Amino acid sequence: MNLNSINRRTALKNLGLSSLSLPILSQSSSLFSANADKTAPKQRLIVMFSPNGTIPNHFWPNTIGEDFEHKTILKPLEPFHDQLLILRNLHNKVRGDGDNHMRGMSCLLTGIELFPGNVMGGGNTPSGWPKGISIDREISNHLQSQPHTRTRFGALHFGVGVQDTADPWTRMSYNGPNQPVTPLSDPYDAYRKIYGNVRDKKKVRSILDDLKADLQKVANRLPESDRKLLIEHSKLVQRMDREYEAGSSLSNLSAPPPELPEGIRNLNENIPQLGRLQIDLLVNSFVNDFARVATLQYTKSVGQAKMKWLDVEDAHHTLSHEPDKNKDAHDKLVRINTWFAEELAYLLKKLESTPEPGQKGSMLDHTLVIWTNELGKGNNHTLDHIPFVLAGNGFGFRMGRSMSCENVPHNRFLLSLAHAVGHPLKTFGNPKLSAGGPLILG
Amino acid sequence: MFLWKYYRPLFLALTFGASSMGMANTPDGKKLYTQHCAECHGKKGEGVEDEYSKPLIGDWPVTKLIHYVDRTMPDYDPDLVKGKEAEAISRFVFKTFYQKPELFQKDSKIQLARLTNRQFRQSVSDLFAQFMGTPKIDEYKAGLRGKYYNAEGMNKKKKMHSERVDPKIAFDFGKKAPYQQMNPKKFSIYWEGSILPRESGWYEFFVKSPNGFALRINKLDGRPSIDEKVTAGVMRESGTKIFLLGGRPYPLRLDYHKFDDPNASIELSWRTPVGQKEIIPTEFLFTKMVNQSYIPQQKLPPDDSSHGYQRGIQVDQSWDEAITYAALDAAQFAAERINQLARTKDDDHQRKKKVMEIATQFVRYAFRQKLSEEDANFFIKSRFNDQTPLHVSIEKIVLMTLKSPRFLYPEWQALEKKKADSYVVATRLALYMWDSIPDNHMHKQIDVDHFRNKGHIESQAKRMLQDPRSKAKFNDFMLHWLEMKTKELPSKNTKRYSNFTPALALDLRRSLFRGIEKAIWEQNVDWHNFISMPSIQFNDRMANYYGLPFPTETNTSGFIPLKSQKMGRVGLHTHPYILASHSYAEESSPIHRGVFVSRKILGRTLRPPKEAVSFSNADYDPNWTMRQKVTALTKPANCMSCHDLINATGFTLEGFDTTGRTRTNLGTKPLNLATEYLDENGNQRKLDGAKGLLQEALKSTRSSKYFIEELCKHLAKQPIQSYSDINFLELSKMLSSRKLTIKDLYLKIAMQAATDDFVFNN
Repeated sequence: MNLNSINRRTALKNLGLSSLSLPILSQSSSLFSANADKTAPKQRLIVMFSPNGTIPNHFWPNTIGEDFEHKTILKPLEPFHDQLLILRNLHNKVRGDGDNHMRGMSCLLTGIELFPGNVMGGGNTPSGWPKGISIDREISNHLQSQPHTRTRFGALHFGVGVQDTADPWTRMSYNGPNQPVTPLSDPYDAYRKIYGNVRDKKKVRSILDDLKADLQKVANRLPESDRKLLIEHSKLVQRMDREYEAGSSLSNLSAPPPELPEGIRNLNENIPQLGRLQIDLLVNSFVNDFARVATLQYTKSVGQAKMKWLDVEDAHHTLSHEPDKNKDAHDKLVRINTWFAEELAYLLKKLESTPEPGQKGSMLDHTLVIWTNELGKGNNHTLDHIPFVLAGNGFGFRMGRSMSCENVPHNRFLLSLAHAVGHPLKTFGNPKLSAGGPLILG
Repeated sequence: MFLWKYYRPLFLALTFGASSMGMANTPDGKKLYTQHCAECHGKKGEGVEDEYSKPLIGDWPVTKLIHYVDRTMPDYDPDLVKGKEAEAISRFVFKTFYQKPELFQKDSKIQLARLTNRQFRQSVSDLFAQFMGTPKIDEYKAGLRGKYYNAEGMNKKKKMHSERVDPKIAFDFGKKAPYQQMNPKKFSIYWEGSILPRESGWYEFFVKSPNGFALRINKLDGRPSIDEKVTAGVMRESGTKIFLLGGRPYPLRLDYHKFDDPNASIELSWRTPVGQKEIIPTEFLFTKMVNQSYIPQQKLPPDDSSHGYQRGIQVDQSWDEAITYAALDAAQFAAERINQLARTKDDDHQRKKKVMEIATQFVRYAFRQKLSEEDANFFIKSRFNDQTPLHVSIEKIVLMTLKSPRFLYPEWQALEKKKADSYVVATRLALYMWDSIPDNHMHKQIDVDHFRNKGHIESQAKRMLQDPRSKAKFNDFMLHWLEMKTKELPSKNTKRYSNFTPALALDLRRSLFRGIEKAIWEQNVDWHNFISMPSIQFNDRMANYYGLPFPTETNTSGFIPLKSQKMGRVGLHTHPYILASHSYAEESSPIHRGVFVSRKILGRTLRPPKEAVSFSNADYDPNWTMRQKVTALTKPANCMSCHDLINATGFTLEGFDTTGRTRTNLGTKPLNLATEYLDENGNQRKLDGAKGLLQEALKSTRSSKYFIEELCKHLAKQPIQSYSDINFLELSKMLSSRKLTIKDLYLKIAMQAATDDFVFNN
């Protein structure tokens, strides 16, 4: 198919939908814009990222349609079969500067080329940051621009085991050209950002009684004429105790934040626990309607996590470069990707078991979760067949099936996301790659 | 100007004959005072709120007092009290309380005071330094060490080409490579070393480049201070803000690379607390990279300065909260690094023991004394148990310790104990000399009971004098004494003084503080050489502006000494930075200069003016000199009560223009720089210009006494009367007669104050 000549009608025809469906689509998009008010159903988006490609023959269902099978990697998602949409034959067609990992990561949500620049990858030409905004930020900005979909943060970006360095391998969200968004890789920092220094206040309160006792003790040991300042100080301690006890904004919340266990450091072996903490914080922030968009980034493109909890001692990226015939590596990679699917299942379960506040159904019914990757496959660095696993009914897509996207650029999928929230962009990222408009997923 | 008016009462008395003095109808000064003066000045001269609220004290000679009372008091009807009655009242006041400020001191003993902001920051930093190592620069090689690499592919450090020391980071490579033989398209440079700023405060660091860079200031792990490794080859400048304590070194690392970018350049600048941005001068950069320090970054509300110096005599909610956040941050810092601080590993089976040990030491250092069994249990042992992870215990301990009154109120120990012991002396020495806590040397000495006789204590104090923290605290005092803390960089009318650029102003400031630092700490000058400033630090820019021969030698700082005479300087107060700071944008200001010199150099008392009168050039004949204008403006008796002094000193400095350049004429008019000066003893003197002023300053005991008192207040942050051991008059005589250097003075005051009620063991 010549991408340039394809038009919407042709695409629909090829997808098995007649033009009759068009009016319905446009009607439904107006439902989300003009008439929507605060009590209207919410729409949320979560983008979950895991790196280094997948193992295609253990991942992609062979069947297109509703009866698709769950191979090893997607097995953990079987309970959610009816709410899944597996997008096949969707490719990252952004070319230009930067190696495949860099473009895989930084063009994934932006759909646009990277600036020529000074960061040298494993091949091709050196590059800088992408030339445009990412879809998660675009959608968040759109939702924030309208009073009835505006939230405190708009979007929250969570990281799990993300390194302390800023480059096209570690960033996937962008506010615009040259504007990377740093994910919050520390759940304690994320907690502080979202809930204020509640945990800090708790820590302080836990020592105030002892402090009061000590102040009293010291004051009593001084001559009376010298106690004045300490008495003032004691009054301040009392005041702080009262203030910090009266709780905080937390008492007004729909759902109190999760209790974070102390001292989980940002270390490789803590990735599973850190991931769960971030997921808990993410869901909680959605329940309290602090944001409508979130990203969950596991390590980075070329991430070298060692999944010791899966009995994998090798580093992830290194493994992903082993040839197909290395059975041991192959098995390990399948285990690794299956584990990511399990983490996704944990997220989906949490959403599904939380009733949607003020509406029928669960939060999962009002959220779209996308699990994606920067590469189609690790050892050949391909940007074709990028894994896109969608879950949840939030965007009005037709779920419970696997679908072929007929080898179009993934920009068109990004457009679908924008349209689904009532933001009918004509192009997203590279305009040429947007030709044909949004994929019809509904 | 013959001050006939001061002598008239005396003259009149003589004319009327001795018999009229001492007669029964000599007015009763005390009675008259109570009748006419007490309602505003208080029965005992203590002052009355909403009237004249300050005590009636000062340094005028009695003749001036009589004159003033006669002419201007009481202020609601100046004609009410005149002649003999004015004299009687004045003599009563003069004899009873006017010269005795100690009568009005509400506090004359050491008060319980919390740590001032500077003391808090220094103490916390030094507390962590006990475990992280105190960064020290022992080899003073200036500049940053740069390693130059050729890059290839993903390897930025493919091959090192060269290593060298770069005095500053300001390079424009254009399209070329730093070295001819290097690849001009792909290269990296890694600079490392330390930065040692002079002043404490908020700093901003900037890197400007179209290429990739990452900067680390006092941060060797975790996220860089600025991370701009990725670029599309467009020029940009990024900044980062950080609080730094002056006089301490911090590690600095700058990673830089060009990879196919069209051009290459890099500049490393900073903006210091005085607010001006410049390329970081070599003077502050050193090739040795020290380990990092913990410096509290929390903003703290300003200390009480109502007594003329910073004191921790008040606590309020904003302070309590700020300290709490600072403590939380320190607790988190400690919790994240327990293995490093306790020198242990996760799998060390001595780990808990080691962690408990450092916790004990931490609390001991913070509380400045060994803990009793009970206190050790309360503060340390009870915080550890099998259910609590070690780092949580450490967090609680740090939080509890830094919020504890035993840390925050350093004098509590002394006030609690009936007799001062070694710990009290050690605490005070560290607090007064460094604004910090006693270090482990001192604790060790106390442990082996080597901190009780005068010799031992003195040798500790001498060691402490050599420590950079003493110099840093003295530098802080200089900023305060010279009134530079809140002052902006002087700036002048750009049309008339186009060469007086911010860069020159910064150079002048550096010249001043560099000069003082060298004089006091390297040359160990006495009071005479300190005030007369025989040598001034100058550089190219200063030579250019002030018409001096260019410096012939060079050194890494760009500054070399010059005989002050060659620049027409006559004393510290004629340093161009000081003169320029006390001037208007277009004209000199004898009033500002007079106030500064009278108060700070001569140690005279000057109250703020009763009425604020603004000075406007436009009100006067444009042909008049500044002296003529100011004389006319300050003629009324009310003004003259202070302006006789201000004008007498300020006019002597009219030989320097607004930027501190020397001049002998104003247009065609030769300048008249002679003045009549009435000293604190009532002696009338002629001052012949700036030279006469300097001689006066060197001769006057009041001058040196004021300096010593101010220094003592700054060191101890307590009322100076609290220290009965310190004889200020004697010290000032020693200083004036050149028997004591300024460094010795620092040591002496600290020693005397710290051992004030301590009984030496001989």
